[in-house]
Amino acid sequence: MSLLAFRDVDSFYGRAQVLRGVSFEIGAGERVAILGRNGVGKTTVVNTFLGIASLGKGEITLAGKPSGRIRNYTAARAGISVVPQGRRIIGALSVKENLVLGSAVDRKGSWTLERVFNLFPILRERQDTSGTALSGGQQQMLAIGRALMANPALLVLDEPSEGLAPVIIDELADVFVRLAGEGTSLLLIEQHISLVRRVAQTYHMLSKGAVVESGTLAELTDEQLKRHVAV
Amino acid sequence: MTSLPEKLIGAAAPRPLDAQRSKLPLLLALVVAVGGCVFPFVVTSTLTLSLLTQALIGAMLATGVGFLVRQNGMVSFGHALFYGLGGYILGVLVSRGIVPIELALILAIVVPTVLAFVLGLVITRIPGVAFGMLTLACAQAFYELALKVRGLANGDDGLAVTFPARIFGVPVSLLQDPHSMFVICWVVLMIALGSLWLLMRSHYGLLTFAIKANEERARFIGYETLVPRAAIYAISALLAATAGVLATFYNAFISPDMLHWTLSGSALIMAIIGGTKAVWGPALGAVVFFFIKEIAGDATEHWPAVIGGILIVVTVFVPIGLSGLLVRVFSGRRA
Repeated sequence: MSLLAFRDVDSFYGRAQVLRGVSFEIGAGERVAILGRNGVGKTTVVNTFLGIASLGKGEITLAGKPSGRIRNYTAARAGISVVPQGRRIIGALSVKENLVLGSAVDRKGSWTLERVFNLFPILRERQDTSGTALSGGQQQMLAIGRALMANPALLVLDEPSEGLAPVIIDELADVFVRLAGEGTSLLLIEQHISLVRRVAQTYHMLSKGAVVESGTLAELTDEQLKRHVAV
Repeated sequence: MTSLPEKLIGAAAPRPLDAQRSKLPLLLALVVAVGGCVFPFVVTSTLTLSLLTQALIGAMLATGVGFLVRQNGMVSFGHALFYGLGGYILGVLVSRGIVPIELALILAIVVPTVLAFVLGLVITRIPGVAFGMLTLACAQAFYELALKVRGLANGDDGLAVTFPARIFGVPVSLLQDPHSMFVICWVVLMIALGSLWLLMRSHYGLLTFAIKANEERARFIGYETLVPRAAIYAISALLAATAGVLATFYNAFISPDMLHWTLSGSALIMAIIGGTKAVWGPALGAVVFFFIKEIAGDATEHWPAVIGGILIVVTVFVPIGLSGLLVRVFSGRRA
């Protein structure tokens, strides 16, 4: 069963069309990357199944079922947790409160507050601190921990390396590999190619809102990257 | 799995949700709660107790308005609707002998609360000033109804409510004597504040606070956000309706003034003076408001100007309100 599938999807912000006939599928245990330059519509893929961008033509299925009318919480309830670009930590709440809120969806699974603290010990140490008082890397851990608290079948990571130091990106890559090893499916939207190569198995290259290439990461050549990703 | 290097750990920042987690404030709250019950045995002046009883009723209304601001970030200009509706339901049902007083009391609290929830499902979708204007419009619509429909409760003249001798076996006269009514209002207010305090620290309280901070993010996590906002609006209306019921028992009189926008405005001023960050802030603001009104009212007929001046001073120099100032002073943080 596919956890998330786009079939010939067009999506819009108001009248402006961003995605054009996008199709891809993520099954259980798969690690997929969506690549492309800034502005090609990578985040719009996420925004479409979150109900921010409006779905025109095509169909989206969540956990094997047609999405129907997409509301903001539809994806979360279908077992898809999103770590958004910019983290979007709720600053009025503490680290612990942010994590507790992550368990909105009553899905069975092994992720608990304790397990998130074991994965990111720094969050345990700073659990009473305001979420936005953390460093960028710690906020990213908090955003990931909050997403894991929902026991997702699919974890969507939108530009997780954005604004982080290389050492932190390496640490996060270890976490993603570990999560993937435990069977969590991942959708990685990223421009940091070394992170993508470590984590993902397959990729879809976006250009001008359309998927122009797909394949395995092993097949992805520097020439292709230069053509579609490098600025 | 290794954690990130220690050098990346920044300085600890203070907790965002009040500094009320130590046991000292809890102990202090307990002392204040018990102290209030013995207050009428210490202060024998009926006038002072009557004034304080009215202040406590105002505190209940202001607490409702402040709770809405704190949890939903919404400013209501029409909470007199629920205050007046509670009073009118009790007064009209009892005066006309339509239902027993006990049932009238329950309806007077439940009906405004349910109305607020249903209304909240519509109007809490609308942010900012438009929400405030809608609350004002709803309250003024009921005010006009109470004013124009004389068959309801004598229109502008109001209605003197005649209560039966007892309610739940308790003499109603206790609800009209300042000494006993002060204690009743105090106990009701303490129960309300305690319940709100617990609610604010529950998962639901966290959720509503998160919705206020970032509604879109709360939805993406998987929460439906409209019902929690409507529920907070209904809880704040419940407090306002309770205040209206207490006022009707105490004064044995209902009039359209109970629904007028000036009462909503006063409750908002009380909440601003007291501050909304602490759950007890609006109640403190109400007590201060009533005493300033009383003292300034003795000195000049232009007492609203004094209140207005104080409101400006608080808004400009102490935007966190008196409660916020007290919390900072006693917790040793920078004011």
